[in-house]
Amino acid sequence: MLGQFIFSTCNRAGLSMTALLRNTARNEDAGAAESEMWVGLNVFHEGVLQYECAEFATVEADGYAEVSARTCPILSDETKEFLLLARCSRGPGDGYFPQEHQVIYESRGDGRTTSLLYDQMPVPGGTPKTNSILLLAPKVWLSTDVDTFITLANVGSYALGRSSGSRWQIDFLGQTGAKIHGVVANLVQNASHVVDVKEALAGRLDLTDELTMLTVVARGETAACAILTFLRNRKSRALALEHSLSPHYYMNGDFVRVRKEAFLFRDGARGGGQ
Amino acid sequence: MKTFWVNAKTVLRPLKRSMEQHLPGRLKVAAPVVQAFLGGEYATRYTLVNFPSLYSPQTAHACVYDVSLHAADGRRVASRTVRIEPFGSMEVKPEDLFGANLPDLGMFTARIRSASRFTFAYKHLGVVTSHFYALYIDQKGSSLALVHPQTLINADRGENMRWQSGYLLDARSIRKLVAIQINPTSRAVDAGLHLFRPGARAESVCAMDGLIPAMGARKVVWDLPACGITEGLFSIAARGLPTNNAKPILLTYFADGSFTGMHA
Repeated sequence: MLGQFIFSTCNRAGLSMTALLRNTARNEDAGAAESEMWVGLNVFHEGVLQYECAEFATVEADGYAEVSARTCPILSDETKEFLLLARCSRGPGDGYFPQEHQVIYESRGDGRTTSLLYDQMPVPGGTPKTNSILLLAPKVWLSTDVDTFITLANVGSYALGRSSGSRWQIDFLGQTGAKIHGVVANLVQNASHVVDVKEALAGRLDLTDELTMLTVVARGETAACAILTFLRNRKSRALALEHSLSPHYYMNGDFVRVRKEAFLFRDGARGGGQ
Repeated sequence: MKTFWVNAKTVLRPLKRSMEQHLPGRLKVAAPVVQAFLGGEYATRYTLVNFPSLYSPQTAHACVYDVSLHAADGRRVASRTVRIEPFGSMEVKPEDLFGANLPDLGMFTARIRSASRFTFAYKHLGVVTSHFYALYIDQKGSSLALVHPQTLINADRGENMRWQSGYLLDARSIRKLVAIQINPTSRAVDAGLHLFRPGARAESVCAMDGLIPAMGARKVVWDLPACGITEGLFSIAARGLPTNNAKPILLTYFADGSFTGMHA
């Protein structure tokens, strides 16, 4: 059985990343994971494969393998963002097996941490096919002290060398629905992209000590993408982290039409302000 | 006669399908979604968003959320209806929406629906489930915890699930662990949580059992040094869950008294 866990660094926010690749039972299957899990690891920067280890770790039942600068020294380069792909296999067959893994981000300098558990994805057969997706992030807060960072770990072809990019439209909406700002970004595949929301909106939003909530909507194409949102209070050093949910979690209709129509969004609601 | 009915069905089926596609109808919605509510020493924020309009921008409409707040004993504190314009969102501050006299602990529920009774928009979205996040902060602003939507009211029962979290918590940096459990069902649930060290000889320590009232919540606090957990990795498990995704919210407290949090 196979699965791939997509995760990334967030050096731009001053955070060090550690992943604990787990080999556990799931819910009612408690006690079922008695087999070892084998892990291969690929690390990309800006679409270029930087590190490859087909036998990175063997994880015993209920154990874990650590991926960090300690076990994968290339990650000690804090000037780059890395996309990491862990290929996990357990037991016979090439079907998908669900398995959650843990990422831990630590603020450099003060040791404050935040952590998140999320699922690995199926391993696509053949050449991965890109498809349009819409990121919905109704969990962005800004204030004079609080920043939000969004990481898009954008997986494309596994071929070696630089892979092509894809055009993404990223819009920042106030609570009235008015578009505060929009940017077009060419996101390289097999790369991690960090959106610093406060920086993107510099000069376009008056911030105070009070938290202001915004929605970020991004449209683009990807083969697979893990999207995380980080909140950080620069003054108190508080950190929070959560992942995005696929639209399948909150609708079940005609996704071909949904994908097509979602891309017709242009300017948000009329009028300014929040 | 039988042939006539078969032929009639064959003729009428595409017509019915076409009418369903082209005539207005209600937005199909799932059961209300629930999130834990923390008051008192905490503040909670919820992020309601008119997401159907973002997925169907050319036929965008206002939407409505029916929201309620329940206390830890299951009592409904208040209910409100909020309207959100196309592409808009609303940061819900419970103290502004429901009034100042709120409980310290409880459960927030939200159910999206279309603002208009009949609409051509959104039929292709299928059944829509409310989608909102919860932010938990402390009154000093020194802590942040962000949690995705948890579960639905009366989702499948999880009383017989032997659930254990995949999280490995590091006792070197955590001094106190707080678990918030909600029960979004119409019956009281006897719930049990315990900590354990992972591995072949996993040993359950610090079990905390309790009854969670219907539509209620409970808060469990572990002082880790008092439990003898001062180093190494540990995790949390449950003897059954109220529903199959009603896993506890965990707040992990650091030595300086601040916390972060996660959906376990």
